Parts: sequence; structure tokens; C-alpha cells
Amino acid sequence: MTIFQLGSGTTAIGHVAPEARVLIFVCGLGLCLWSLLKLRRRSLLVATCSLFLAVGSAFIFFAAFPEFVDRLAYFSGITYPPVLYLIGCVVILVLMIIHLAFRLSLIDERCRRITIELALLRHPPPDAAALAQSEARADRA
Amino acid sequence: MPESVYVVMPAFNEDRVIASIIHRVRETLPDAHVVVINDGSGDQTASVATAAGARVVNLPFNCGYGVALQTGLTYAFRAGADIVITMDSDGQHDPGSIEPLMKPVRKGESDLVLGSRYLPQSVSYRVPALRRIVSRCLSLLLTLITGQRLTDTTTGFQCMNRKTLERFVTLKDFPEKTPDADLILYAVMTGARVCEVPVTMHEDRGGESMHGAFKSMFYIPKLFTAIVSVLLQYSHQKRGNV
Repeated sequence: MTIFQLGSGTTAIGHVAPEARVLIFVCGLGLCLWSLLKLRRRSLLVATCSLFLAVGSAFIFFAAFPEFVDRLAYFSGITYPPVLYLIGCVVILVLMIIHLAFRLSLIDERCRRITIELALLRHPPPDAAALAQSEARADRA
Repeated sequence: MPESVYVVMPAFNEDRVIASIIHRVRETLPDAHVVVINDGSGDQTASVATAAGARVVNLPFNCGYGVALQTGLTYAFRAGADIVITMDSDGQHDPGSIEPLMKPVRKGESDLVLGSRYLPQSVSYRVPALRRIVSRCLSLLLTLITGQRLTDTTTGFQCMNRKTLERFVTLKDFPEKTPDADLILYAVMTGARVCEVPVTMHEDRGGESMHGAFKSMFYIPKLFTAIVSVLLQYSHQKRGNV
């Protein structure tokens, strides 16, 4: 029997079985603890850690108040509440991908600049005077 | 004061042919500075190029053609170059074509000169059909956008003056992988006078391609996106120039 089957069948629609709630709570708590542990070891950025903490907290909140999401689903016009979870997950994942793609582009650009500067520091152009002159020209322009 | 000419050659695993290319460039332009950008080669490219008399700038790891090219252009700019020629180090671009390539820049008629393999007077190897079609489509697209007839917008054999060099060096989002048609479009959009001259091009005699077969699959969509990006960013400047 799966976690999804636990809350269906003989139980009312929207009811989440205690076993599933415990499992979700443990998952949320685990995610929060893991994030804090990584943060303590400085192997996870604060921004990323806060995202995982938010997701973990959402798990815990859902385990504690499962009827909240059901009510939200009915309020939003969604008759089958799990669809709201699915939509929420997809939206969060897409937002995460957008955020990571943005960060990756930024880091890639910076990495490229640093690589070029590093290469040119190790093998500097021969004429420093020309450099100063060209930079002065650029400044004037 | 004599003009300072730099020949920038990005290289990746080209130790078999690079020495002969450098020698031929030095024969053609004895006073020019040849700069080889060693893009993390795993072979003897750096030492062979140094022995052949080139200045070698080593990138710490393989960064791609665009980064290597931008490093070379930055090097030339900081060294005070007046004219820069960019060419491949795999023997595809004939050093004998450097003089005609430089002519319009020296005369002050053009800011960026493209060495074309598709002009009637060009001497070129038989370009594979698919590549030729892609190249023609891109050229047609750029001709339509710029209003200037361009036949070879994927050529890496180019000559530019200091003004264009500065434009490229200060370009924040220099194309990392596809510095081809988008870079030419950027030059036109920012007011550079671009022209083409026929050149001699041979089949690639070197080692590993800097583009790679698998990466080539993404070339067209990437380049198309890059063209759109340039259009979005610089179309107002083009209107300002016109």
C-alpha cells in the first residue's frame, strides 16, 4: 500500500492517513535538519539553504494541517485537492530552474572574465605603457 | 609611428600544424605580433607555438572558441594593437590572404573586414552541403537585417581596426561558443563599417575541432538566439547610427 492509497478508499476525500502525515513530517524535518547541518558546515549557500528550509517547513505544515490545502484547493475551484499539490510542485520546480539558470548564467559570465584575466595576468601583454595609453583613451571616449 | 599589427590565433590541440601556420604568417607579415591562445590543449601546442616565435597565452582549461578569441582580442587591445587579424590555427585560413584582408582597414574604408569563402574570386575547399546551406541561410538573414550583402558570416578569418577591437573587448556578453554571425551583427549595429574580401581557405588540416560534432547540433538554435539577443539589445543603437 502506497502513501497515496493510505488516505483514499475507505476514508473521506481530503483525509490524510496518520501514517502518511508522519512520513511527510519526518521528510520535512529531515530536509530542514539536513539543510541546517550543511549550513553549519558551510557547504550550502544561505540562499539555497533558505529554499530547502522553506520546502521542509511546508512539508511540516502540511503534515500538521492537511485540511488547509484541501480547503485552499476547493476555494481555488480545484475539486480534486492532490492536483493543487501537483500544480504547486511544478510551479516551484519551474521557478527553481529559472533561478538556477539565472545564477548559472551569472556565474558563467564571471568565471569567463576571471579566466581571461588570469590568463592575461600569467602572460601579460608586452607593453604596459600601451595599456595605460589605451585605457586613458577609453576613459576619454 | 608604425602601426602595430597583431594576429590572434585561438588553438586547441593543433601541435601538428600550428608551427607551419605561424611561420607562414611571419613570412607574410614580418613585423606583426603573432599571439596564440592555447585553449587548454592536451598536446604540445603551447611549446610548439612558442618555439615558432609566437607569444602564447595559456588558458587554465578548455573554455571554448569564444573565450579564447576574447582573450586574444583583449591581449591585443591591452598591448596597443592598431590592427588585429583573427584566424584559425588549424591551417584552414591561408596566411597569403592576410594582406588583401588588411587592405580596406589600412585604407580606412572599413572597420571590420570578413574573409569570405563564397565570393566569386574566393579559393575554397568543397564545403560540406549542410554547412554550406546553414552558412548561406545565416548570410541571407544577416543581409536582410543589416541591409548589406554578406556572403560568409561564419568566417573566423577577419581583420579589424582598433575601434572595432575596442567594441569587441568591452562587449560584456561576448559570445562564448558562437562568435560568428552575432558578433558581425553586433559590429554593424554599433556602427562599424563591415565589408568582405575574397580569401583562400583550405580544408581543416589540424587536430580536434574547437566546435565538436555533438555541440554542432546546438549551433543553429544557439546562434539564432544570439542573433535575436543582439537585435534586442542594440537595435536602438542601429537606429541612432542611421
